[in-house]
Amino acid sequence: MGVQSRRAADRLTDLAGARIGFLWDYLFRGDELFPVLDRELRRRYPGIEIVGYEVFGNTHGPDEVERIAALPEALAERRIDAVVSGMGC
Amino acid sequence: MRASIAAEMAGVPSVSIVCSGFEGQAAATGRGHGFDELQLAVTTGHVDAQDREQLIADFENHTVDQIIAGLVGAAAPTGAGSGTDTASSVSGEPSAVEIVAAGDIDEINRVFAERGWSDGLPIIPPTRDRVEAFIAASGHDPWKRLGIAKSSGRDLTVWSVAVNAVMAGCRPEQLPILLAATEILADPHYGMEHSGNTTGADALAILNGPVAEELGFNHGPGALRDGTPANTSVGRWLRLYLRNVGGFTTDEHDKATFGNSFRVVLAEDERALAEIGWPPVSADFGFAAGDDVLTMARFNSGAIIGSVFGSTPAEVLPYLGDGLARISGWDLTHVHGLGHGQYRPLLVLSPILARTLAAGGMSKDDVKQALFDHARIPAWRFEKLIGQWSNLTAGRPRLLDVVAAGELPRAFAESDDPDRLVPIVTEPSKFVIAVAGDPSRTNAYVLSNDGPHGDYTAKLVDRRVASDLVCEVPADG
Repeated sequence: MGVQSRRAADRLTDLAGARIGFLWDYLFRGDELFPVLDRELRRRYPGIEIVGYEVFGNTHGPDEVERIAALPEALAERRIDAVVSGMGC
Repeated sequence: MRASIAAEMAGVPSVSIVCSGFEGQAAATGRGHGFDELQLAVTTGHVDAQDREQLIADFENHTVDQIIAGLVGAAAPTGAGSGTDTASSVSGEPSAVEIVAAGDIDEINRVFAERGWSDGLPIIPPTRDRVEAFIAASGHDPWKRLGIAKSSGRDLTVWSVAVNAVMAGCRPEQLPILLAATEILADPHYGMEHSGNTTGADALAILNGPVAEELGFNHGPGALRDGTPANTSVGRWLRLYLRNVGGFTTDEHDKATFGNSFRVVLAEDERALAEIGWPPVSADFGFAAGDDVLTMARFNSGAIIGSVFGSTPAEVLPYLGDGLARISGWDLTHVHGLGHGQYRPLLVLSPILARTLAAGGMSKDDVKQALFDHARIPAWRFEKLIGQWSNLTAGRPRLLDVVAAGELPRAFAESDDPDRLVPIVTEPSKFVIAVAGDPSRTNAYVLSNDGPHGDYTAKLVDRRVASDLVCEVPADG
């Protein structure tokens, strides 16, 4: 069967008022960079909501398989409009 | 990337932050799940090599804008709804039975090398006749799907196993071993998708049971060296399969900074084990002595413990423990951090060393307990290895705090002295001990495993003729 092509999700039209989830693999200085992103997004887009990475847990740790499988439900439950995921290094 | 892919498949747009130089693997991972263009935001250089001021400035000035552009930028290509399948395959790859090259063996090898389908050594051309003959006696359906390569998205089929087996110089009677290895690759517990991580660990397959001797696997002198056809060809097959089906090449999923050559299969000396009454490695994973079993894990570093001196356990154990401690560095993050209790170094004892320990009245479990006591390092060193020196364990916690949180056993916090000695595994059973090598030499070998990135997984080697293709004709009635 092989790989079936998929369409990426539609982008947002505006970040103002959007709810953004942060996802982190607990590696490569995400703990220093996500706060910077949080600050910049809030500064530039009034009304934006940020849901921190700690809510979703480590996406690369010992529980990776289970956590990734549960991610769609976790995103839906928290009404996340878009995610920023790091850090791939 | 896997988190972003899960979000996209759920219809939630994503942007992945990656370090410069990681874009290719990120794109390949997306393609492996059918996404041609996932949104990336790239940092300037590797974040670990930057001072904090430079890190924050580069992120603010370059990466944040990329993240925003990825979230609200150009909409996904028009067409089907987000995250949905489309009918066509994205691969554009040749079909499984397509003739991809023709000519003499030199020409075939030239084409395969040019297209990145070989490991740099000459291959046996996988002609359709050879591949069909490889499978024929097994009774397996060539198109049986054993799983999916989570890296590339390609199916793991009997056919693709056989194609790469022919290329590697394997024998048809080895097919059950290769299928067991493929089942391991397909098992989420093993984590095949991590096979290209930057530290460059490589898989080692350990073979137990009568199959090893019957098919000519070497467990004696040079047990981990290429040269014996069975050990070498199966080890070579595994690397070729990861390359050609898993997509673990340096322009796709393999991000090994250095990497290792493929590892030949390690067959245990089952006679020596039987003689001293020790169970095989496969028993650690639920199988009985005498079962044909393949166990696989990925390992980073290896080191010899040379010229072990002594005729009693008390004399040899401190040196063996020292070897295990020496081999354990950043990998200790698999004790706590990247992994959780998944650091399980492998100690390969030559038969004479195993006999010395057994003659001293020690069972394999006794030896593991003794190694737990001897293989220790100062607490400050453990904390620096997983924290300050590697930054691999989030928050750089003190072992005292980790124990207080109930995430490590008391042995890691018997006092608050930073010079106290702490174990390198969470419990004695975490050590894996194999017996192989020259029976008359007193050397041992240690390997550090890569925790959840190729975690120990064992499968039965089923040598029965499969009934995949048997047709049942209902009795008249």
